[in-house]
Formats: sequence, structure tokens, C-alpha cells
Amino acid sequence: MLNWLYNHLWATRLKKAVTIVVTVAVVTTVAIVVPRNVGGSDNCADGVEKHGGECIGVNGSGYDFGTPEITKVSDAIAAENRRVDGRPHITVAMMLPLQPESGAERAQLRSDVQGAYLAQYRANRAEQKPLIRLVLANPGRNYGQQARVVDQLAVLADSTRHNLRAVTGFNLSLRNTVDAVDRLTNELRIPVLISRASADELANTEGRESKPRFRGLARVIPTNQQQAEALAAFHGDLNDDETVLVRDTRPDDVYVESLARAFSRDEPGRAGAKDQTFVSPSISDAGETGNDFTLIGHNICQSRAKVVYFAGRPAHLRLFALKLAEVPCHGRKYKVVSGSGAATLDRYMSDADWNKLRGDESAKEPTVTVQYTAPGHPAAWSAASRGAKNRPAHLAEPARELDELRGLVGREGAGDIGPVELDDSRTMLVHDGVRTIARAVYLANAQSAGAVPPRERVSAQWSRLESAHRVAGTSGWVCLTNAGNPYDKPMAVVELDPRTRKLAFVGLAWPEGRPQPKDCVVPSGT
Amino acid sequence: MSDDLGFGKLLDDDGLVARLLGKTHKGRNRPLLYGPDLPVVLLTGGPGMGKGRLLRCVRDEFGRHVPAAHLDCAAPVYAERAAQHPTTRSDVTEALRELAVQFGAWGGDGGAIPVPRLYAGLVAVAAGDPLAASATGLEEVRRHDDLLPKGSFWGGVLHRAFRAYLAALAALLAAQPLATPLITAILDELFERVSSEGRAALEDCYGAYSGAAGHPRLGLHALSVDFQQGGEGRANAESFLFRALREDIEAAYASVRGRMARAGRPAVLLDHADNPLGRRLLRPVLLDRESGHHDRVVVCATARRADGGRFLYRSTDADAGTVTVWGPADGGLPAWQRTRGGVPGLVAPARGVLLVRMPTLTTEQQNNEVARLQGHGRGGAAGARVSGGHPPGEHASRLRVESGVHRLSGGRPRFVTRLGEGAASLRVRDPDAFTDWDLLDAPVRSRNEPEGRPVPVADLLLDDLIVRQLPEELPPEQHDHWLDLLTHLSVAHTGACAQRLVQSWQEGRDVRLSAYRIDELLADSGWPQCSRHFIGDRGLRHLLMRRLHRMRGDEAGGGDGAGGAGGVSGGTGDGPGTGGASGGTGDGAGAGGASRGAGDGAGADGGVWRADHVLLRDHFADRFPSADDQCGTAAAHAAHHHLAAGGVDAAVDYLTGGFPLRDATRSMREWCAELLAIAGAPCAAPLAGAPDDRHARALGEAPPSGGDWLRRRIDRLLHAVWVYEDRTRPVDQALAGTWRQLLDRLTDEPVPGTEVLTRMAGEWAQLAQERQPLSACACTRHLG
Repeated sequence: MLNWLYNHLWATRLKKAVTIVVTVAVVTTVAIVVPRNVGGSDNCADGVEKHGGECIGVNGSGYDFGTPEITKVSDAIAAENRRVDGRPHITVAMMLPLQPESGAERAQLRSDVQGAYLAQYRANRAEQKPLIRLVLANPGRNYGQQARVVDQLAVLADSTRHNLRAVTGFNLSLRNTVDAVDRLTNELRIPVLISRASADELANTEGRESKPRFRGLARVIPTNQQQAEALAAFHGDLNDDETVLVRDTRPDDVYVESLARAFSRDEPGRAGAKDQTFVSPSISDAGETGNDFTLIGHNICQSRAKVVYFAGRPAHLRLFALKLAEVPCHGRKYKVVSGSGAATLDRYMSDADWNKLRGDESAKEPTVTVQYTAPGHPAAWSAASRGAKNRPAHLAEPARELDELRGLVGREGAGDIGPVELDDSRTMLVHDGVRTIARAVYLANAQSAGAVPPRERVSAQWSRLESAHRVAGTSGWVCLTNAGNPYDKPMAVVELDPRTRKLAFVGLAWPEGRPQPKDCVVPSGT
Repeated sequence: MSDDLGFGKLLDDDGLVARLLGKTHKGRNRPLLYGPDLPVVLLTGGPGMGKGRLLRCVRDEFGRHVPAAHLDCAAPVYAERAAQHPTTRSDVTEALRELAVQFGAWGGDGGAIPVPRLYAGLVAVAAGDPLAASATGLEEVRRHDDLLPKGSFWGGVLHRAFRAYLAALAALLAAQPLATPLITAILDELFERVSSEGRAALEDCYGAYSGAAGHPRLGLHALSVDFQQGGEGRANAESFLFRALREDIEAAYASVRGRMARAGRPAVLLDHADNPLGRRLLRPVLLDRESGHHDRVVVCATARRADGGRFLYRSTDADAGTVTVWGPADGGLPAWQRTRGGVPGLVAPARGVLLVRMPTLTTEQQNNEVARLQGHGRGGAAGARVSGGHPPGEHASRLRVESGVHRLSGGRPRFVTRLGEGAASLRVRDPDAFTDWDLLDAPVRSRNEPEGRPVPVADLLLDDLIVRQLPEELPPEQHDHWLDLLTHLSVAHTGACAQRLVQSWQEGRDVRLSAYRIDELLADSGWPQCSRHFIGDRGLRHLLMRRLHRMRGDEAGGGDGAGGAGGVSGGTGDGPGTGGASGGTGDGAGAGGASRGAGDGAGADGGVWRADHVLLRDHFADRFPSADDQCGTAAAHAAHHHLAAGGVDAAVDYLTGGFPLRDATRSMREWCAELLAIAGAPCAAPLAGAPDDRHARALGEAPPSGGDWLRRRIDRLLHAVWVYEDRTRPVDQALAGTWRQLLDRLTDEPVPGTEVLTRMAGEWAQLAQERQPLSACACTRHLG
């Protein structure tokens, strides 16, 4: 065999030359083509490998996943992690796509990570044990490669060095997100706390008989259903013919589906216009939806509707609002109501966009105002208690918590983590989530032997977090039901005012239609 | 590898062949040995040394990786083809054509080797006959069409030119009668169609022909004319054609394409190159290279003479000793380098030759080969029989066979193979009684006739080694007589002894050969020389002696002298046989009747044997007491032959009478030398299958025929030495152990030279321990 090869490939200069040239060509081609196409993995950082052009994995040592916005905050996390190293600690993983493409998304990401870090910072200085170590987990665009990350998290959960005790994050309600949460909770028994995704599919159903869909799942953000109910309660006096629902029918977007379901509840009075549907290509692509919106605008113009419920993603909300403003409709003014996702709307808006929404400069009111529920608003507490002599505890405690957070941010007590914007509520929500985890871990640790509580003990504490053990979050009290959902957590109804280009706080909306009970005791039957 | 018995060192990956060719037999590249000036490698060795087999091995094994053209110069086909058109062909042109065809058929690295230069030369020669009809001439030219390179080299960029040329040749035929001589027309066409590359090639080659002055067309013309002229001119033309072929090959390797696509060196393998055709091919190579026309063709040829052949030397040369001689047993690689100085053309061509002695087989190789052949021979039928192990006695007989093969073959591969084949069919019943003569009797089928009648292996070997390989210079009248002459000479010593025998057997012939001439012819055939034995190869001598012993008077080759010898063969008694001697030397007139007498007298086995020995005995007995270069004295020489002829008592008597105790004129040293000389005689008894009582008499078990104590002791001593020196069976160490005692007891009486006997006893004991012959000579060196 060797001789055969020699005689055919190496016996003469010509054969040598041809062999060398062919070999070099093949090797070069392989070296270029294979890593690119066949998916040969590459190392991005410790624990993070390149798959399909993305850096997938878990890292807590300061890697920013190529996103410059979070470089400072991830460095701060790394410093804090180094501080807790060698002392009893548990690990909390922050799982969300860490390599977003648009600048708006990257700024949102920064807010999320900042919230987690600030909570970690505060918890580690609350004289409570064990300490918290924070790691960032990137499941890829649209959680596409969540399986790899979940595998890694499973290893961290079993490792006595890392002691992964909770996974948080989850900012998008997608099928992949559901799969990831399903596997983490039901298969791996890792406690999961969802702080930003509001879809009903990512929540356990309430009720004594119902079996939990996800074991050990907790949430700090009300579901879409609850938000819609809160909004409906807020606009409780509208007749059916004064509203119209515009909804996205793109499959697999559970956020949009649950929002549409909530807005479809029965309303009193005469029947209004039917639901207006459209199909968007993806979460952030506009596609052909602009034309649809123009036509939808014509139809709405012909109806009596003044309030438009919009069940869709912010990118399409922006376009819809613009098209609606463009449609000449005898000077009619519209109020577009959408879910909490719209909190990021202002990041998609340009000057021209604002001007369009404002309409005629001389008019008293803008052509289109967008109203939506934000899971939190920094101005909520002060505005809601304005004029009251004795602020009730459900307003006073969150206000105090928010002030502390503001103070920490304001004096850069936690180091330089980049500009912090509390307005979009992300920082507040994620912060509250990690605070909730810290509380649960602390409670579990107090009841079990050893420096670090086991995972089951942590998830068992979710239902304890009410009443006496309620968590006073910056976005309101967090009192968890037995299904792990926040009970009657207040929503901030906000309005985007095109004239000021600011989020104006409109009022607090309660999913139950009334404020939380005293001391946040969750009533029976929920 | 096929049939590479004994060639291991030559053919292995770093052996001479691989280094010369730059490729191993598996195709791996090897650094090239020598160059750019290459020696002509001459494989030297006598018949049966495997020279041709080696060349075939090289062709078969290495020829897969480098182009190797193989030519048997002894094949009659070239001469036959040349004879069809003697004016435009010679055996050399046919041989060159054959080489070119083989190179053109090369399909390995680099592809076929085109031969445009040789083609042009051959075409010029073919068209050169001025008397031939143009159709005949053109036919001769068209005969070489297959040598036309198909590729672009010759046709330049155009393949079409090649076609056009062929068409033009065809057109010439149609246009007869030609206005111009054929050669002019052909060359016109050639130079008209040839590409610039082709023209440059022809210019370089034929522009250098004598008288061409750089014009290739003139050169080709001159070549053609020289060829027609015959004699020296034709030889010049032929040698230039071979140069053209080598330049073609060189060009195929030296071109850019050749450098890239070819590796190693091409080979021209010339078997039987010491015959006239071979010499005419080798000589121009040697002369060209001597004068600086180097090429990379490895010319590997075979020659039988140990010095490669007389044509390599100039009689005036004193530097014949500067030839590089090397054998694989020397180890390493030969350090050949052309001797500096000298005028090209005036120095011996041998300077450009590397003589490679063909290797003999080691004892181990011989045993392996014998075992292999026995495995073949017994394969199916007897394989089952021995499955349970060797039957008793088999091992002993195998050892007997192996030692016999070793003694007879002297490592000569053909001998080993044939004897091994014979041994395979041999059933040794009594290993103790087994002699080398029995081995020679083993029946073997000739390879050429696998279905034929088995013949004794000795006859087959004689056929292989002598009859089929007659010396080139042997006169044709002697061809039928040659084997018989050698047969008679097998009992002779060198010099006068042989001469007497030859004279006796050639009486009545017109053309006679002297023993000295026969000696030369044997040397030409590659047989080794021995100072004591006329037939210098022990194995061949035994073959011939066996034949001599079986020779009957009437088939004794018409040697009239046999009559006289046969006449005395009856009286092998103690008589000096003067009558027989006179008959032996007698006149030719009485030969006819004597010859018939020989037929009657030598009817039984051994008759001619005895006659020859008696003839020699009588010859030397007459010369007593003159000195003799072989045996000390003529009388001792006579006693030697007398002993061989069966005259044991006479020999003992002679030795007893000559012992210094009885003959004070003799010295003890002379006596010992005579003893050895006499005891070196061959013994007919085992040959005839007759009971051999030497062993018993040496041990004193068989009573001598009488005499006093000294005679009895000398009788024992002579038999002991005789048996030891005979060596047709393994040495009996017990017998050799009695020497010291026998020699010592000779000194029981005070005798001058006792110390010589004592010293001699020590020397002999030492030699016996090493199984060395007591009287050393060239042909017994391998014993022991």
C-alpha cells in the first residue's frame, strides 16, 4: 500500500509537484470551508464556544459576548464574582440572547444585565448567606441554541463548585423559551424565575386542582392575560364599538397570542369592527406589514373605534401607529393600546416618526397616542401617592426600594456599569427578580444544613414569598401564588406622548381591579 | 521476487542495482550512484553462476519502475533478421532496433522514450543501398515506421507533420522510378517535415559524425555510406547508431518534461555480452564514455571471463590491474572512478568497466534452497507421510545431501538448484554408505521437457554447463569432441600431464587442440583455474570424472589412443605396463584394431578411466626419476595415477621404498609431499558402486597384502589420507585422529627427519579439525 502510494504520488518530480499542489489546495480549501460550513466549534471565551457564527455558552468571568454595551457591566459582574469566590455561594444564571443585532436591542440588553448585577451587588451586601454569583448565558438569537446552554447549566447545577440554584432572564416569549424553561424545570429541576417574558404559556395556571405546567417556576411580571385585564379594568368604561383589535397571526409567538386573547374579552354595548389581522415575517422585520396597516387604517377610519388594541410586537406597533397617523381620517384622534412589550417602542422611533404621530402642530392633541402597560415605571409610586396623606404600604415600600436603587445608581456605588435608564422598567424588573431569588435562597438556607441549600429547597420557597416574606420590589410587591405567579402585581399604564417624546405615567392598573391586599396576603382560591 | 536466489545483496534496497538505477524494486527513489560518468557494469562469472537470471530479475523487478531493455546477444534472431537484407541491416542494427522498440513500449513514469535520432540513422542506413530497387529500399525504410515517435517532440508542435511525413514516404513509392537516389529523397522529406526541435536534435547528433562538419544531412549521408562500405566503416556507423540511441534516451531524461516526469536511470541489459554482437555493442559505449560522451544509460552486461573479456584490454597496456573488481561479498558499494590521464582511444576500455563478480551461495542459502526444492518435490505424495515428523534416518540423510551439495557445488547456484532437484527425488536408504557420487546419479527431469525421461542430474548439469555453453573460439570441428576431451582431462593435472592426455585422444584428427589452448578456452568460458587440477572447478571435475568412469570404449569420441590404453586396461596389476605405454604412445597405424580392443576391454564401467590413468602412469613412469611440478617426482606422479587406476599396492610399494629409512637420498619433507600428492588420487571404487575397503584398511581392520611393519604402517597411513582427501563423503574425525599415531609410529626406528613427521602430524591434525584439505589448492577452498 505504501509503495503503491509512493509510486503513484511521489516517484517523480512531477508527481511530487502535483501531489504537493493538490494537497495544499485541498488542505487550504478544507481549512477555509470546513470551519465555516460544517460547524466546527471555536472557542470564544471560557465556557463559550462558537456555533453557527454565534458565541454560545455560559460565562461569568467578564466576557461581553461581543456586545460593547455590556462590556462595563460584565466586567463589574466578573469583579463581584471574584469577590465571592472562595466563600459559600450559589450561582444564578442570567439566560437571554446576548448578541442582539440592533442598537435598540443592545441598549435593552444593557438594562437587563444592569438590573441583575445591581441586585447581585445589593444582595451580597445584605449580610445574608450564601452569596450570589452571577453568570451570563447566551442561548443564541431567538433562543435558537438553548439546548446547548441548558446542557451547560445542568453541569453547573450538579457542580459543587458552582452550585447553580436559579436561572433567570427570559426576555422573549418564544417556543424555544418555553422549551428551555420546560427542560430546566421539569427535567433538570432547576428553579427558574421569569422576570421579563409575559406570555401566558410561560406561567403555571392558578387553581387548587391544576397541575403545574413547570415545576419550580416563579415569575415577577404579570402575564399578558393579567396585563390585559389590568388594562381592561383601566379602560373599563369603553363600549365594544369604541374598540377594535389588530393582531399579528405569525405562529409561535406566544406573547402576541396571549395578548390577543386578553384583548378579545367581551365588552358591553354594540358590537364593533371585527378583528384586523396581519402576518409579520419575524419579531423585528417589518416586511410587507406597512401596506396591510394602511388598509387596516382605512377600515378603522370607517368604524367608530377610538381605541385600538394592538396585539403585536413593538416594531410593528411603531409602523402601525405611523400608518394610522398617515391615513387621513377627518382629524380623528386614536389611542393605541398594547402590551408591556411596547415599553421599548421609543427606542424604535426617529424624529420624523414622532412628528408623524403628533400630526398637525396646531392641534391640541396628537393624532395617535400609544398607551400600554409597563410592568414598572419609576414615576409610578410618587405619582400614585400624590396628594395622599398616608401612603399605603403597597406604595410606600416599593417607593423606598426604588429610592435605594436610585441612590446606588446615582452615586455609582456599584462601580461604572454604563448609563442606567430606569424608565423602560427592564432594570427594575430584572433587579426585582434576582432579589426574589436571593430571598428564596436565603430562606432555604436558613432551613437546611450546609452552606448551600439544594435546588428543591430553593424552588420550595417560591410559595412562601407572600405575606410576611413578601418581597418589596422596585416595581411593586412580589407576593407569589402557589403557582408561582405574582398576585395582583400593579402595572403602570403609560402613554407615549409624541409632543414630549417621553413616557407619561397615566396611572396604576391592577389585574384584580383593586390594589393588593394589606401585607400582601394572597387570598385563598388563587 | 522471482528466482532471486543469492542476489539479496545486489538487489536489495541499498544494493548496487538499486543505487545504479536510482530505484528500488518497489519503486522507491534512491540516491544515484556515480554520474555523470557511468561505468559499464559487467557481471562476471562462469556457467551456472546466474548472470542471465540476475539480468532477468532486474528486468522483471526493476523494469516496472525504470525503463529496462533486455537483449540476449546470443539469440540468433538478430543475425537471422540481418541476413535477410545484409546490405541494409546488421545484427547490431537489429539489436538496436529491438532496444528502441522496448524503450518505446515503456509505459511507466514519463511514458515511452522516443528515439528520433536512432530513427533517422536507421532510415539513412535502410535507404543506403544504391543497388536496391527503390521499392525494396522504401520497404526497408517503412519497416522503421514503428520507431517514429508519436508525440510532439519529433513532430514539433504538430502531430500532422508526422502524418504528412508518412504520407510523403508513401508517395515516394508511387513516384518511382525516382529521379534521385532513394536516400536523398528520404532525407529531403525528413528534413522538410521535421520541427525545429527535431532539427536541432539531429544537428547535435549527426552533425558530429565524422565528415559532417555540423551538417546533419551530410552526417546521415556519411553514416549510410560507411555502413555500405562494410568492415571498419560499418563498425563506425553501428557504434554511432548506438550513440544516437543513447542520446535519444538522454534527451528524454534531460528535457524539462523528462526531469519532471522521470526518475532513476534507464537500463540496457545485455545478456551474453561477451560474444561478437555484445562486444560490438559494449565497445562503442566504453569508447564514447572514455572520450567524454556521457549518458545516463545503465549498461549492464554479462561476461564469462573473470576479467570481463580480452576486448577490454590493450596488449600494450600495463595497467590491466587498475580495473575495478567488486563482489557483493566485499560489502558496501564499489568505489568506481575513471582513472585520470591517458589519451582517449589509446587507453584500455577496461577503465570504464566495473566488474561485478557473481556471488556464490553461502552454506545457509544452499541449505535453504535444497530444503525448498525438497519441499516442492515431495509436496503432495510424501507430505502426508512425514506429517508426524521426520522418520528416523531422514535427518541424517538430509545432512548428507546438504554437505554433498555444498562440496560439489562450491556455491554455484545452478549446481545447487539442480542437485537440490535431484535430492528431492532421491531416497537415501543408508546414509552411512551415501556418497556424493550417489547424489550425482539422482534422476531429474529437465526443465525444458517436464514430461521427458528423468536423467541423472550429473548428465543434465554437463548439458547445462558444457554442451550448451561452448567456448566462442572453439573450432566448429571440435564441437562434438569438446565434452569428451574435457571428460578425459578430468583426471589430469595441469601442464604436461594434460598435454599428454590430449595428444593421446586427438591422434588422427586434423585439427588438434593443445591442452594449453583448452585451458585458455576454459578460462574464456569462465571456469576457474587451479594450479593442480586441469579442470579447476571441483564440481565440474566430479561430473566429468563420473562421465569418464561410465564412458565405454566405443563412445570415447574416436580417440584412437584409447586403443592403447584399453589394451593395457586388462593388466592393471603391479606390472609397470611398458607394453601398454608403448601402445598408448604408439603409432596411429595400429589404432584401428586397438580401438576395437578398447571397446571390448573397456566394455565395463571404469575401463576408459583406468586407461587414462594408466596412460598417464606410464608416461610419467618412463620419465623416472625426473622432477615433476605436480607431485615432486615423475615417479610419484606415476604412482598417483597408478593408485587412481587401482594400483594400491604399487603406490604403497613406491612410498615404502622411498621412505627415508629405506632410501637415504630422500628427505622426509619430500616424502610427506609425495604422500599427499599420491593420496590426492581419485578413487574409482565408490564410483563403480564397488565395496570400498579404504576405511577399513586405514583403521587396520582389513589386512594389507603383506610386507613388513613399515609397509603395513605406510599402507594404513596412505589409506587414511586417501579417504580424507577424497571427500566424497563427510570427514570421519575418528580416522583423522589416527594420523598422529600413525606418523609417530613411523619413527619407531631411528630415522632422519623425525621432527618433520612430528610437525607434520600436528599440522595435519589441525587441518583435519578444520576439515581442510591437507594439500590446499584453489578448487578445494570451499571445503571444510
